Amino acid sequence: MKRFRFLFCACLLAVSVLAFPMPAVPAPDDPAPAVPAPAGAQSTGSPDDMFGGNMVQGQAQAQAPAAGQGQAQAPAQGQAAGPESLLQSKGVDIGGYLFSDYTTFAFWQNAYPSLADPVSGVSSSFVPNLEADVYLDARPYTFFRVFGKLKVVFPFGGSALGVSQAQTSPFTSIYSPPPGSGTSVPNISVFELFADVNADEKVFLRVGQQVIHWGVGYFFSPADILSLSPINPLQPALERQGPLALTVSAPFARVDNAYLYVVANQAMTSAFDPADLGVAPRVELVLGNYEIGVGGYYQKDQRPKAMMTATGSLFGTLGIIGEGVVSYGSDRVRVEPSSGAPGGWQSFTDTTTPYFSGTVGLSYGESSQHISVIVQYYYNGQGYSTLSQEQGAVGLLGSQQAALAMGAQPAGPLLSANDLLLPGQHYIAGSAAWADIRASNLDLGVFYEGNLSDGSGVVSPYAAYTPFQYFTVTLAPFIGYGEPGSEFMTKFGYFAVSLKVTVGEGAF
Amino acid sequence: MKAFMKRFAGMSILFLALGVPALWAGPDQPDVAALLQRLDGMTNFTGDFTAEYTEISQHPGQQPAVYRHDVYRRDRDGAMTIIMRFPDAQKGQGYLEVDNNFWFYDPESRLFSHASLKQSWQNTEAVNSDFFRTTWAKDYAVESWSEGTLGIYPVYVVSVKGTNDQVTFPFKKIWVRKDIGLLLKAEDYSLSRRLMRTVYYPQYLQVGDHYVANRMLIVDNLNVGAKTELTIADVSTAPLPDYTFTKAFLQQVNR
Repeated sequence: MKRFRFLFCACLLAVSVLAFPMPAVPAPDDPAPAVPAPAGAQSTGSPDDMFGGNMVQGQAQAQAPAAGQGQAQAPAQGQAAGPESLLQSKGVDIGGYLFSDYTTFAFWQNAYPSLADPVSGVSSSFVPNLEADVYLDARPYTFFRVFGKLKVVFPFGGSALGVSQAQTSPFTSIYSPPPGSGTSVPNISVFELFADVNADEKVFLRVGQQVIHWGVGYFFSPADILSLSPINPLQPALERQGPLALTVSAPFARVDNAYLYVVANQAMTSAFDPADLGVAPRVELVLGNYEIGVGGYYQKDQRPKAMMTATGSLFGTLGIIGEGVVSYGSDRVRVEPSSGAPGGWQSFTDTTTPYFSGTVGLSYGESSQHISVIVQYYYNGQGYSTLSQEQGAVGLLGSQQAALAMGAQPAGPLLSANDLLLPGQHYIAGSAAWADIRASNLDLGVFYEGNLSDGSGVVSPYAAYTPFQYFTVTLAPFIGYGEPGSEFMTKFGYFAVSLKVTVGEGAF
Repeated sequence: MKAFMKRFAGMSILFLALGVPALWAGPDQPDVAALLQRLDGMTNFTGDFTAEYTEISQHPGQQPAVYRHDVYRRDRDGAMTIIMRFPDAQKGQGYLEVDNNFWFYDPESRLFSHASLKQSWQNTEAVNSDFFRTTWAKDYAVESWSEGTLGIYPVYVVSVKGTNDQVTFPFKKIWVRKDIGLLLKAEDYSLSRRLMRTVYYPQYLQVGDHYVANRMLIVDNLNVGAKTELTIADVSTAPLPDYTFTKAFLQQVNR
């Protein structure tokens, strides 16, 4: 009986063990298995035929990355550089970018073109844009780097007022972004010149004239308070000059960053005092899939500001941005109805009222199809809520300038073009683009910007065709709407068409 | 002896109870969840990883375009840095991914932008996630599987579905070698289950206990004739400095 019980149990155990399947897939932490290499596949022309031989190459040993090859030349294959070698170079890297486009504009400033006589009321202009950015990048040590970038702009001789890439559009008016500080731009200028050093690869310092961006907005960025010029929504990707500054950055907690900026901005004069320096701390924190930036700015001649930015994504496909800035008082000279002259306007400054400005935006991209859509709303707390206020400010600026031209001193604080930049309180801008449609070298898109406060705006669809590399033709009508004298009617008129040829433009 | 026999019989019955369902599944039933986990374990490195990637992208009617960049990975921390080296127009562009946050750095505008792993890589058929560690077990669940042959290799053909909206492709079909569990081919599908691209992994490099696909062919199933071949060279597992995975590094290495 005992023998029977034993045999019964043994059979049970055997059946149980056999019932378990053999592990067809080894455990994840198993050592690398041997690689059998079946052979003898027949070729059928299918990519599947690639799986016909030994597909695993010999074991590579852990090794140090190859020495850096410098950056003046494209690296040859098989010469990946270690991170240290990217920070050091025996030579000086020199390169740049050539902007080369030539645009013809036709304007209908005072009325939409009529079908019966389309050329009636039309005017035209030709705008060449030939500009080169030339940079030099020297890295004698991993912890010391000097970088400089020059801009050379046509016409090359003499000094041209405001001739820069930002001003190739003929849509210049009182509402146009000023070129940097509003002074004339020489044909050759130093755009950036700075040095990078670091302390034990933990604290990084950049000192000199440098580009600094704080905002995250695409068309509007009120929190970008250190750049010397605002974004031009028509050319949002255009690089913008930054101040002379010392930037100290320190990564912490793996992905967060702390910054401290000491800024000697455009207010600098020969009698500059250390007390004139601006100070701007900022922290970037990653919370989940969102990055939050919080910062502040203080400079004794400007209104103190606090800002906050946020970027992230919704549903994994929709990018979302937001930023806001609170200013204690306004840096702008503003206008209000005149107390002494009914119907007139007077200028004033406000150093005590908190002003909030903010923006939110959404972006969607289908990169495999080269489709992108961006929409952004902007609340400008220092803007005017009605067309009459905007026109009052424009009129007062004109009368102040006329008075100055005659040697008289206007009453009240002086307005400048900067005070009328984005004069409205509510804006919306957006663009949609489909590039290289089905590998046709044809791009289609549309741009829109509107001032919701004065009811004006512009719509600009465009088509760009690139028959061969480094040659693109772009056709873009601009359709303006709004009351006469409103922001976008002043800037764009009723209708315009541009034909731009971009040829030979690219990096070198 | 009686007590032993009782215990022995009890254990046998327990084994039988656990084993019978598996027996019903058949002796060749793979543990497909473990298969995904094993894919991650084979291709993700426990230490640091450096390699140079080259893509040759071909689109109908256009000259082939060549892109070259360095990839630095620290898979255990979920960190990756990519530095573009060629062509000159893109040289100095940088990508940083840490904890599923992905930044693109443009040296021209000096702007960081939060990007998506779903974005195409430059103007190729590759996507950003092609260069990063894999997260099959975390991000995908098996819908169905079958057995088949790819080339000369017996494979499991597994259809998987994304478990979250962060995955680059919500549906995939993968061909995995039966014998050693390497990924040979993947079809990537959109949310509407439209075939977007097909990726072939015909060659692997064995690095210690891990593998890296050192040749990939990515075929665009939407634009007929468009494809990208990706090769990897100069693989290293030497330790990397911590600052390699910071924004400051991207700002320092750019032009």
